[in-house]
Amino acid sequence: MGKYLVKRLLIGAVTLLALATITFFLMHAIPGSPFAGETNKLPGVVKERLIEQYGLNEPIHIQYIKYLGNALRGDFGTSLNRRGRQVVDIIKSGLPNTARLGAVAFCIAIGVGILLGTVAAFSKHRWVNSAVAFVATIGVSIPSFLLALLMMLLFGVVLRWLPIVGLSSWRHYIMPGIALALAPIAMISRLTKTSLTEVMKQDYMVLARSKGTSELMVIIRHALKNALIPVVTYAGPLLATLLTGSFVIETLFSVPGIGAEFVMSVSNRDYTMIMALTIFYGTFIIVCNIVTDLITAVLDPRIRLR
Amino acid sequence: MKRASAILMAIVMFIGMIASETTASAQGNDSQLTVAVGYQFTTFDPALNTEISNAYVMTHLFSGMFRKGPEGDVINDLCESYDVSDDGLTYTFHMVPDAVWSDGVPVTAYDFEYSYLRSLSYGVENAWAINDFVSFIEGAEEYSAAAQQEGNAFDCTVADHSSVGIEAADAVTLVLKLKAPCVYLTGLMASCQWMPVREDFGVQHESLWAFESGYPTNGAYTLAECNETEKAVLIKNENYRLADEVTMDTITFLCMADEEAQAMAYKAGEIDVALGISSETAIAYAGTDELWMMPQPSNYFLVINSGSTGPEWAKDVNVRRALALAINKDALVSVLGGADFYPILNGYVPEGIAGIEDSFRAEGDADGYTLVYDPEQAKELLAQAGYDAGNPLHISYKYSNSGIHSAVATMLQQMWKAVGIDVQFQNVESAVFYDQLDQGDFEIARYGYGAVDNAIQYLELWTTAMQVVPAVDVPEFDQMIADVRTIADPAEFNNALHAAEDYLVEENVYVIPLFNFNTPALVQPDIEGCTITGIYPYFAYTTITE
Amino acid sequence: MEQRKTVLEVKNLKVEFKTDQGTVYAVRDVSFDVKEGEILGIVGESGSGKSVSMLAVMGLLADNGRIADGDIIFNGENIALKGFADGKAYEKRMREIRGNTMAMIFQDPMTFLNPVLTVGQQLREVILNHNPDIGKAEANRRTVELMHRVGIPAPETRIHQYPFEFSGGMRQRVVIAIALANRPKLIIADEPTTALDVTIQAQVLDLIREMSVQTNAAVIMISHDLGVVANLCDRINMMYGGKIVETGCAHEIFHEPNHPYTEGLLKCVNNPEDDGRELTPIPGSPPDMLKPPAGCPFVDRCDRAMRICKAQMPLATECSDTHSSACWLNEKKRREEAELHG
Repeated sequence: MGKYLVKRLLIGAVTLLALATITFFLMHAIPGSPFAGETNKLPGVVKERLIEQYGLNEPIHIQYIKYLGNALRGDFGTSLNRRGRQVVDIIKSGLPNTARLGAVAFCIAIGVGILLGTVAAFSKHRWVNSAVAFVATIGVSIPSFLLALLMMLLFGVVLRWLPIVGLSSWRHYIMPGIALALAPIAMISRLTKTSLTEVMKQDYMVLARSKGTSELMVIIRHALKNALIPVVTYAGPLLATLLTGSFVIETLFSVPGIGAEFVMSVSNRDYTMIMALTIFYGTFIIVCNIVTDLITAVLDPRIRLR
Repeated sequence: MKRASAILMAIVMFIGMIASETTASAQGNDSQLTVAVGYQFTTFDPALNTEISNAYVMTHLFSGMFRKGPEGDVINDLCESYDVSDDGLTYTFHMVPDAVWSDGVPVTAYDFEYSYLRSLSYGVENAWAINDFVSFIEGAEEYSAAAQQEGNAFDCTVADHSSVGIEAADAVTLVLKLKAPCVYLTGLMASCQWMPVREDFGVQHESLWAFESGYPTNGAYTLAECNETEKAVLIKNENYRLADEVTMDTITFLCMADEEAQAMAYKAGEIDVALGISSETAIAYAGTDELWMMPQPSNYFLVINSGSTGPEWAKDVNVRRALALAINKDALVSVLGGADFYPILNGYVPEGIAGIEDSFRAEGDADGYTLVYDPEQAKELLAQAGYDAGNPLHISYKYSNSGIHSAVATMLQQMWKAVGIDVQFQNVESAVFYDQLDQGDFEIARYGYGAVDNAIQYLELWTTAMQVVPAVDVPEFDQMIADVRTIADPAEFNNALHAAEDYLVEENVYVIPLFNFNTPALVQPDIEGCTITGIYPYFAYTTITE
Repeated sequence: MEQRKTVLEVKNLKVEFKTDQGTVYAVRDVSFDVKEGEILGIVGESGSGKSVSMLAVMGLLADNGRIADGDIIFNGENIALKGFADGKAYEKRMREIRGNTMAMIFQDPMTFLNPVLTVGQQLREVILNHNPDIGKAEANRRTVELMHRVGIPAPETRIHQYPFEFSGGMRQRVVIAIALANRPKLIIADEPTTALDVTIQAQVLDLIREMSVQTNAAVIMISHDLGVVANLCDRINMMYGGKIVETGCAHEIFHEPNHPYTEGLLKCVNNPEDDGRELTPIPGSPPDMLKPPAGCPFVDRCDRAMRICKAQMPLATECSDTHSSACWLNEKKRREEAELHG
């Protein structure tokens, strides 16, 4: 297990380096400069001076080496758009909001998804199955922003039941959480249902019953672990995606997080921000994947000894 | 069945509980205003700010020597009276004697002196913010350059600034010496860059302190809470000079980047004022008293690249004139939403900039405008230049694809096509667009500018010194502007600017103005007392009626 | 011979399955019994209803299956569905019985053991189900002892291992251990050696016989392989098309087969004593249980079929005290002999 972990971490580090490098060069290859932009109507000469101050006129490979050197020492630089602010501070201030919202969405997705999937798997009624499949299809076909707008309109404007700006109370998490969770719910419910149905047909369920175990215990003790393995495999990367935020949802609900920051920093050509966020996301996703694999190994002993 | 109905009941009760809590909290404390702005805050430091969205907050936090009234007129604020020397180069400001900061410490001329020197020596980052200082104040440019050499080690409280024309003669007297006359200096001093900070909290070379709550301010409010990507909460400053007139206790500025989200939040009653709405939303509220059109001097025009990197056709004034004559501005504006939202602009400097008796624009239009819609004339001019049905003129129009720019582009293409011009589009992203414009990589492009103090701020944009790769490369024009800058008499100054504008627009058609911009905002019907200071909305005197 | 107690008596058992294509009549009127200490073999090909009838006895039918009719008397108690007030009561009683007084050994230990639980956990489960008060330590002790009894070496360490860490034969021993944990009175072994190597088969069969002798339990051995039942079983039921077509003691079945199906099956088996003899498969395929035949289920494949075979189900003819066969040929022979003897 230890050797496996070390190996994965090493591969992760190499992946991260490749990611950072590719992003760096691609980023500088796109036309446009960080000091242009609708709100930044600086005269050209001023822009030139700023470019010089941030070392953006040096040859690209020099910039790269400098950046790498600084990054390895933990210095990711200051934002080019929000001058004076360290990018690490910007991420630190935006991350909790995004992460909290993502965590809420994750819990909703897992909770509702598994519940729906289980109900669909065990229900004898055809209509239950169809209903769950219908919900799943909707979740996957309707874009999250459309659903978000509809919810905002209905629950925020017309009915005035739920607030639509920011994340200041627990009620603020409901609509953006649901909007984010919808597509994952669809996926998880389908996965759970299929997996559970498959597992219930397995031979070891029959043997378990033949021991005189109650049906409920048979399901809990024998079916669940096996059925949840594919769900865990899906849930790991899902968590990474949700915790790193959605531009659309954050913008719509005015959530001051890093999901919106990511897209905006690209539009603004805020190079230091883009690099810092890319490295952060990359690390996070790699770690989530490793953790998922570890959890799967815990659940399924057949995977362990590799 | 019984269990199902019990669960249903529980759900209904739960929803009821949520709903009632939400509506209850919306009523809350009466003297509280929530204002949505369209961008995140980048700074509240007077030394650094160039953005309008930051100024929305800063005008509520700070007071300067002057401020602007609702008509754009200049009003005394901390300055009680001032004298100007005959040559227009020395200004002596006498301050009100009893102004204090929110912590009770008096506001002195020393604060102003410190603030201006601090701004000059801040660093490369605020090069644009101190542009006015550098342009007008004696010795400012050299001082700033010297400070930059030393970087963060430079300390403006100990460095010798005797060569700089900023001096606090005593606690209530500030003397500014200019290197060139500036007829609109007092107007400039009403803007955020000229507002003071105090030496103990306004730290040199650093601006993040302005986002922390608790530092003393001399405006109507202090900053109680701030998260620059989310909101700024301002509470009333009891020590404010005019505190008795301030009727709104707390103002919360929320950063909401999405226009539709703002419109919805407004409809839902979650925000009281929406400052960042789309023009479609504004049009939907046209005719209601919830729509607040804020004057914001800014124009929308076309710039033609007649410089060395531009196409051959752009060098012929007749072709340029033909392009202007082919445009039916009434039709264009009505497609976009009507003259209420986009008043036609026949000059170049927009409405809202003061002239002598009247606005600059009104004065400039008084003698008529020669470039009125005349497609026949346009075709004739093109024919003269050698373009006709057999040899049509091909031009390439560049714009960035946001807001109304595509609608404008499409309309212009139609109108030019009607006179036989073939228009190709170059549609690029904003960041790329401005970059390409700077580098002269375009033939004809849309542009817009918003400045608030004086017409010269618009006109000087097209001097070669202000452009990276000049699209308007005209020595005569450069000279005209340089000459204007030497004039001390306001009336003469104004007339010279009119001449420069005519030269730029009507005589030589280097730019083609289209229309003014107004900034629409929404204000809940139960709110009264919103006013403007210059171009920024001001909420200190608002009240919420039942 | 002293009277041995009847452990299980099945009377007129009928089992049906509801499918999209209609009702499948898997078991059509089957009756047999088995006594303590006795090993009964049930032989038949796939679809004959041999496994289904025993799953019905255990109450382990799939959701779309049901016992349509019949009595299942286990140790004097009728445990068919009709013996209870409702389905819940039935389930409750069956749970007390399964793994306790009645247990099953399944065919493929690879698929019948849960891959993500340790062998110890799966053994403890059956022990604790029926001995809830003994506590984990005691359950572990009994588990180790059980594994030792079925011949699994180093049980103290292997108790923590997972099924995939065992060889095929060892896995089956685990399954047997699970079945034997609470000393059942009836052990049902459903093709326990089909998935195993031939060399291991013998070991496992020996183990089953040994356990049966030790505990005096009744054993029902289901198989499609005559060779398996040959050495092990006291009596054998031949099943075909959902019915028992012949039943008798081992000697009678092997040396005096009566039913054409039994004869045909014996001809298929490679007898090492007969060198060079060609194997004769039985032509044709099993009947469609959606629309089961009115007459003898073997009629389409029988080389001596008569018209009456298709029309009517043959009655069981007693060839001896222990041997009976359901075939019209017997009736034909009887009439011929009656004629012969006047």
